[in-house]
Amino acid sequence: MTAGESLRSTAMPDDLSELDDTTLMTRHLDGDELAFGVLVARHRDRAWSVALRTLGDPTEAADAVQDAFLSAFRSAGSFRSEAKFSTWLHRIVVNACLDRMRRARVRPAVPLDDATAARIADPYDAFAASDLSAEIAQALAHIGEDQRIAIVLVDVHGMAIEEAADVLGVPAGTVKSRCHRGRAALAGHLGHLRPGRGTTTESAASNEATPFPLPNPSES
Amino acid sequence: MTDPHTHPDVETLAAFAAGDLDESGAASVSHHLADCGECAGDLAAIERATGALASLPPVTMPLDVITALERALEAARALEAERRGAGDPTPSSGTPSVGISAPTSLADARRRRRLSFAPFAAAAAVVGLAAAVGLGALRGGTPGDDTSATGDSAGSAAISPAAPLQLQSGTDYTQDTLAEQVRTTLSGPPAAALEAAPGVGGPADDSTAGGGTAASDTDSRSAKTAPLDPAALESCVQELSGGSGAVPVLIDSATYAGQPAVVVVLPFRADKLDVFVVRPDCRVGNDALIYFQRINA
Repeated sequence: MTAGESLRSTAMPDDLSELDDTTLMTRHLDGDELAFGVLVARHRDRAWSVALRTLGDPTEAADAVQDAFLSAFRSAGSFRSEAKFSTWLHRIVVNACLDRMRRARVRPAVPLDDATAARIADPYDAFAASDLSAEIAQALAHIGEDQRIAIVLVDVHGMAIEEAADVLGVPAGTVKSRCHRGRAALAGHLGHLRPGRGTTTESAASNEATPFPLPNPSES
Repeated sequence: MTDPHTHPDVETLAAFAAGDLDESGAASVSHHLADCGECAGDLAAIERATGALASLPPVTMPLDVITALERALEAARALEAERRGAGDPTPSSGTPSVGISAPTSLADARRRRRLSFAPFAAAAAVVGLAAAVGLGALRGGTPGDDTSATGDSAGSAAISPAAPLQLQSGTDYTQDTLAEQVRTTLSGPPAAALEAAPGVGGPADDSTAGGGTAASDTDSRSAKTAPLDPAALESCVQELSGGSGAVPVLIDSATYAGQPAVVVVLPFRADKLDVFVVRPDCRVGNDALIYFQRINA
């Protein structure tokens, strides 16, 4: 019985899909060629979503995700089994996105055209939410990088603050603060705040020390 | 009425909305909100924006991105195998090599093709650089189209039958049992037998089309089984194979988790199979891929 089962577990590849992430990473490091593919299949949609929402451009997102999975493939040895695989992978994906944004910064910014925004917002099918989705995708593109990544992880993907802090390598309080600013900035860009509020953050977006500009000059 | 200098800034409002203010901060904001409709409006706007983020529809990685990713990883694997000094890497988990007889020619051919195509693989697939290899059978016997099929297929023909096993097995594939179901379908009656004796292909009583003779007149038997559009299927298979011209070993118009789907199985290296579950109207760039798994043959 035991012999049969252990033979089965090594011989049957479909069993791989039942293994947890950490075990699959161990198999991958041991030279199992199929193991990493199972991890990719399991996590690629999430990685794609994070990259797409963060970068706002499918081509950039495709490059970032490919960079990330290749990096994860090559540096699998740096994964420590006490960590959560998805946290480790998210860190790699986020870093790949930051890398893309850094490169994009030396190029002139190209505003998101409507077709692209629509594709990002609703690449899968066309149902009623697509207008709002496109609007949000476009507004996200105007929010500072650090804040955008924070709200993409926490608000779009429902990641816990502590895990997001782990992914980003910053204290939980910093994640919260970035989320607060990101949400306020998003509301501003969606045009829902009263004039003069919430739209001044972009240039100072990545500066943690700068507080949100305060009283509304038009009312003083 | 309200004193502008006491308006909380929008970050504070967002912190209040998230419940992240300390007690005195929250009390002070609460107190202000009771009197200030403008700030209450801003707070509502922030809450709406936050809710909108959570309600963005989920996205799935598009097919072209998946195939490019698979190709990049395959190149990385090949590099790693070379670095280890092994021509043909052997997984330490000891996977059995069964089912496909010629061991390395296809693997080498595909690796060479894929590496050389890598920088513009998606474009190559669309343009069809390795068009229609071995897929003449899918067209239900349009003779003129098969002339270009012979040039590139020598390596593949050594391993796969010239025509894929194309059928409607009636199988309802599921994610958990996909590998086993594919192997079962593949190890079923050979294509020739299916042609000669319709109805033995699976649990459902669909007739099955072996070499492209009867692919178009079997759709009325089962409402859940999608009829195949040969042209769409061909471009789909081209896309799935990354333009390598690899010949599928199986094309099964069946269901996946109860939904109509086509299962396309391509050989990968000597002893593995790439199983693609695609929508029946599989078209390039149409997010057609439902599920992908690489299994042992």
